[in-house]
Amino acid sequence: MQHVVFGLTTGGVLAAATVGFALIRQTENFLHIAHGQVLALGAYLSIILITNGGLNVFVAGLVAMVLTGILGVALGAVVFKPVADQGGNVLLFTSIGLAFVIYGAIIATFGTVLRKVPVGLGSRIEFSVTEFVLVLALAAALATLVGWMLANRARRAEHREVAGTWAGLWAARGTGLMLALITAAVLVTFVLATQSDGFGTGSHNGVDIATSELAMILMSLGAVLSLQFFLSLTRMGRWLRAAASNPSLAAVRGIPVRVVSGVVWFIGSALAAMAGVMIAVRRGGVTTPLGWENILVILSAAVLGGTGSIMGVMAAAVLLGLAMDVSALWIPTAYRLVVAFGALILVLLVRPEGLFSTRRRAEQAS
Amino acid sequence: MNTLAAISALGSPTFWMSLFMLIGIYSAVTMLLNVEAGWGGMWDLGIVGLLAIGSYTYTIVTNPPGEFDVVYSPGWPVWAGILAAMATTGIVAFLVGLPALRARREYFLIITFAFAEVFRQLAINVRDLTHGTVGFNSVARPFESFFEKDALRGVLLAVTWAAALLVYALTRRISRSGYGRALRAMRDNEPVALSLGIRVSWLRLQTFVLVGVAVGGVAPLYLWWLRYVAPSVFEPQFTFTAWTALVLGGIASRSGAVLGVGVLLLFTELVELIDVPPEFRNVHVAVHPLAIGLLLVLVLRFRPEGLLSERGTFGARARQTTALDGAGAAVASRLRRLSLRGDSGKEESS
Repeated sequence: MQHVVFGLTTGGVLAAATVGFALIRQTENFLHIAHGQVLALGAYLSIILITNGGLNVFVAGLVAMVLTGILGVALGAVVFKPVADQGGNVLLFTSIGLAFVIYGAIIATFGTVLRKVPVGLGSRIEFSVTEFVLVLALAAALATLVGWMLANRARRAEHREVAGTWAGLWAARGTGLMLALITAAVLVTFVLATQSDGFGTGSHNGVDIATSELAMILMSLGAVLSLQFFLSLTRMGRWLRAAASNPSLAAVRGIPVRVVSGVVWFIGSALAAMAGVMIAVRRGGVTTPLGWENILVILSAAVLGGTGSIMGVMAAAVLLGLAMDVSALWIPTAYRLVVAFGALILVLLVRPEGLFSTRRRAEQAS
Repeated sequence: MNTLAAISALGSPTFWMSLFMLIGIYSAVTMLLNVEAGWGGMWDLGIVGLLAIGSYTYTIVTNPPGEFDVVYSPGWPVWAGILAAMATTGIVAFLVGLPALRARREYFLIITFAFAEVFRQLAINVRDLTHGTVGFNSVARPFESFFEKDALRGVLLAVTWAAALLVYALTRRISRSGYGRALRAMRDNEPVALSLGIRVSWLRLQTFVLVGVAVGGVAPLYLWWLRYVAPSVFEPQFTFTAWTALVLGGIASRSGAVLGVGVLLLFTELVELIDVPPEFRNVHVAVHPLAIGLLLVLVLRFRPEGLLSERGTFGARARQTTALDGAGAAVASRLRRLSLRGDSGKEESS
């Protein structure tokens, strides 16, 4: 049971990191390998702010996010903009180069030793198994409702005829989140059935969750949801989606493409920093390989999620987090990365467009 | 004082022999990467994974029995170890290639990257066979009983460069053969290559396995230089060093790979040599990644075709055979740019 909590936290943090990566992938059309290093940079920045600046962890995290976001905008304009015409592979290799530059800069500034985060995980809240399942089920129901509403909104705008039907629900954007949470609920009950003795908790038969873990799950969820609302409801969000699907048409229509690109870099990098801070707090410290470790998992989650939907990416991230931590029941924890990449390789072979991609359905429909 | 130490090291033949051995090894790997990525268009980010497979196979089968606490150490002679490394790496490349080559564009890149990391994780975790994160602190080297320590270094250097020359001869042969032309045709325009009767997927797999076998052969050389094996050796940085050298020298240019490796390693190794006071130790360690990164970013920005371009390798021959050399060169450079852009214009053919 405890592994489900770990998995949800891992998944939530991963979702925050991956959504930013996916946003950049969508609008700038390349795989931003340096995203992992941006995440690490955010983590290190927050650590300085906490230890040297004496700031509260939330304030430090927020400042780190803003600073990293601004840096992201600068990098987008200075490093990537000039080579944008040369296409995806050049951009990708530029990003690899940038990853090494940031990695080198981090080593030069902070050294290769472990940097501790002087922030505890907070007190632990205990649930009985029944309560925990109830809470999850409630969350799943709520998410389904929200997903359904979002789906209908999106559908109504595009195809009036299917709005409100189950077919419309199934085909639309909220599906990813719904699927993830339903899967989570199924996993929970499955694990419950097989391992009801309360794994890893020892003293009592329930589940416990640290307040900081709960905060991480909620904040990631909040960040991703607000991004979804930002993209679907605001004018800037519409511009952003327009620029992503057809940049030249968007430019012709008078959308300030450069501003939009700046916004994308800001949001993407800030979300990465947020994930970085969370990982740092959760582990109690960071070492320099942080960025490299994370970029592979982010890549996996982004590819699993496929292109075309923020919710799909988020669902994939949560699923991957669950898979990595819940698999610890049967496979030694040392293999959690192998599990993640195994899932990635498998999915790429079976469904190269990703689990929640809308592209194939769009192609079939047309 | 520190400068003096650095200068005396510069004068020592040991340093230069070690440096040139490393350049030979990296050149061989980068030339092989060029066959695969530069000519075949298969952008492999996992070449270090194949190197890891070769290295571990070699070490495990050649370690004297009983010296390390692992389940299998038959203590084979060095030549058998090399053959075993080549065979295993070839088989693994075949097994990886079967699924990976079905994926195109950036997905191939991700899969190879992921496979390399999976291999490294396995090396860390399958302790009974690989000795975990510690690895093996000694590696069987050939001719150890025949030569003194210094002479042995010279012999190994010669062997390494012989191997690098062999790889060079191989790539030269490939570049002039129908096989090489088929590779480049496949890279530039897959539908046309298919229509010309080139069996594209078979050609890809063949090349991938060929590169695998050859990397398996290079792996023991690397170990003779390194003299230990541990998972930390096979981090992605190796792959990216080879890639940076390739981009720097010029993708798809035959000699560019060697030139790129020479320039890059000369720089990073000379910097390693500088003795710094402890307060600058971090900056010192950071120079290698910083150099790779900056070079990659700057070369792609200002000279994307690299120091020596593909035209340098193939242009002269093209001029011999065609009267349209100006137009041919223009088309070649256009194609070059297109292939750097990736297959973005093409659809997946699967």
